[in-house]
Amino acid sequence: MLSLNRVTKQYGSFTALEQIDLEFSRGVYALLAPNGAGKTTLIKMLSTLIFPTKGEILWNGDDIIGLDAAYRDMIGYLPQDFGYYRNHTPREFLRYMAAVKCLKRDRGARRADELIDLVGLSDVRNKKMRKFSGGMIQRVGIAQAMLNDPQILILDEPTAGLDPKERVRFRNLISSLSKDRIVILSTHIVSDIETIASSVILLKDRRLLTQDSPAAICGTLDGNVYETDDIEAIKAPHLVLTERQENGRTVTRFASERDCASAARVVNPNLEDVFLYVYRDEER
Amino acid sequence: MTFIYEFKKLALSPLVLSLAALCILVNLMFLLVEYDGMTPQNQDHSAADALAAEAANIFEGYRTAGIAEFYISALRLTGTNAEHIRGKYEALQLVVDRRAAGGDAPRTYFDGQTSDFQVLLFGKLFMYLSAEVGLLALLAALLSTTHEQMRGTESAIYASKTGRRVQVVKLCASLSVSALLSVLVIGLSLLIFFALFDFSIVWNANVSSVFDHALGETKPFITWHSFTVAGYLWAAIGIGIGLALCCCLLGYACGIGARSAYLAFGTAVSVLAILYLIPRAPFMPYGSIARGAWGLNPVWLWKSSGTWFTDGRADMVWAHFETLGLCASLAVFAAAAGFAYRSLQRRELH
Repeated sequence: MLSLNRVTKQYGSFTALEQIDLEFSRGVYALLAPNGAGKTTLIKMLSTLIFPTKGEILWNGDDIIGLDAAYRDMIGYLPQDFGYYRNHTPREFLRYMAAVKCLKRDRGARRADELIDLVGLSDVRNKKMRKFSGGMIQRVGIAQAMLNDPQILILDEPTAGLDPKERVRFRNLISSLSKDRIVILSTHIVSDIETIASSVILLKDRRLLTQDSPAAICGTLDGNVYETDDIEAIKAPHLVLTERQENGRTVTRFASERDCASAARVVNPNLEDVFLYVYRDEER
Repeated sequence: MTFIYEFKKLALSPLVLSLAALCILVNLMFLLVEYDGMTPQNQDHSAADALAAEAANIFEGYRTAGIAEFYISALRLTGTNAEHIRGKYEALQLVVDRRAAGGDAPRTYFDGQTSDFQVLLFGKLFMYLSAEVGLLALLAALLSTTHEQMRGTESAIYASKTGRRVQVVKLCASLSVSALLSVLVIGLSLLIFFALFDFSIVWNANVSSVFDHALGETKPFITWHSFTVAGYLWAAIGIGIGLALCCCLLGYACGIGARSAYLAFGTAVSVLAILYLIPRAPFMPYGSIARGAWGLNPVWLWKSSGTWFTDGRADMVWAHFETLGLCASLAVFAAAAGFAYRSLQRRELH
């Protein structure tokens, strides 16, 4: 089990994260917060690229900094801005990464080929990566993260910059990789995690707001989300969440703590509603 | 395994390879121009010259105190600074006496035109070669250490099992490639030199005999140890490669210490410039320990390449300055590289 105990990260006088307590066991954990909320800071601490100012991160009771290479041997990490060697083929690049991960030559070569197949890059395994699309590069990124068959897979904004089709493909890939391991995924795109996350972590004001299943988190707004095609008729204080066109009318989805059932239709809240509701201050 | 990858990355780098090729090409052009500029008499030396060589025992009765007093007078040295110079040449007198007693009678080769060859080989070519291999080594280290940062692969690699220790592997690869490039550039350039100028008759002759005068001076070319020409050449190659490794360590320290490749390059060049300029400051007078110690840095060793294994003129206050300087420089830059690596272990990657 991976756990964070009272973890605080400061950069000089600026506090990026404060008193974070988290526990991770098997499953997909989604770090959901707006940009700049500290997701990448947390991810980098889990990857030992930066260190907590206070508190500790433990793997089965041992500090991950002290575990050093033994801990890093258990993680697979896809950075937010994943870099690659433009003049390498995926096979060459993955073999290099396998060497860096201290895999034996034969095993490294085998794993590289297996993962190229898994991420659907078989046809271009010997093509230089300079002509790859963003989605293909991200697939190389996930493949390199999986080379050592990690117990903890850490993905920082893995779908940023991908088109919708690539995002769906990526979600399916992550879902298939999530068995028997911890997958920690940071994103600000709600649809990325709605269907695959077993637990959602919300960060707000540098602190942990909540960690729960998507259903439970959605449940916090049960009875407070409505839809109407006449938003002007709603006099109670409310927060407009989304708008969509339906039969030539604008249907507005909103949240209110007052009962608006007489003027609007109650709908089931989704994760996007919660996101917009929770981070409404940041949005304004 | 990782070492092989890092070695290949550097050794097959188009930039490194093309610069090494350019160095060899420049040396070839330089030597061809020098060859054309030499008189036929100079070029056409033969074994007959050696046979006709004239015995001229310059060591017999030679007093090195004269050299010391010349420098002291010319540079207006007084007090301890003058004493340091005198002390060095007193020590050199013992070498001269030993040579004279051993009947080490120098002969004149190349029709007495040895200084042309001496200036060309050790005064010019070796200076260029040392600079070239030093810069190649510096570049190799900078490329290696900043490669992942430039490609954006740093965070993925630092989060791997090897982690920040990849920079140790990169250091080994940089040192290996630097040594290899040095051997390649020096080897091919000397091959060209010896193809143009026949040195076959002097390989086993004493270097003080063949090169009968110190570069640009009238005093004899007196080495602290007795060298054959071949031995001196090998020793000079060794110092040249050693200086290249110093530059490699400097490049490594700068590459690790600075967060950007350009900043690292700028820092390395600044360090070299400072090493060169400081001895020119008024607080570093000739003959002082401070100037002598500072003169042991790689840039000044390079600058005095024509005097390696000799007295080193008034810039140096100690015997064997090149060996001492090389060892000191390797130790200092290795310490700097070690310090930079230790700081990397604690550094956060934002």
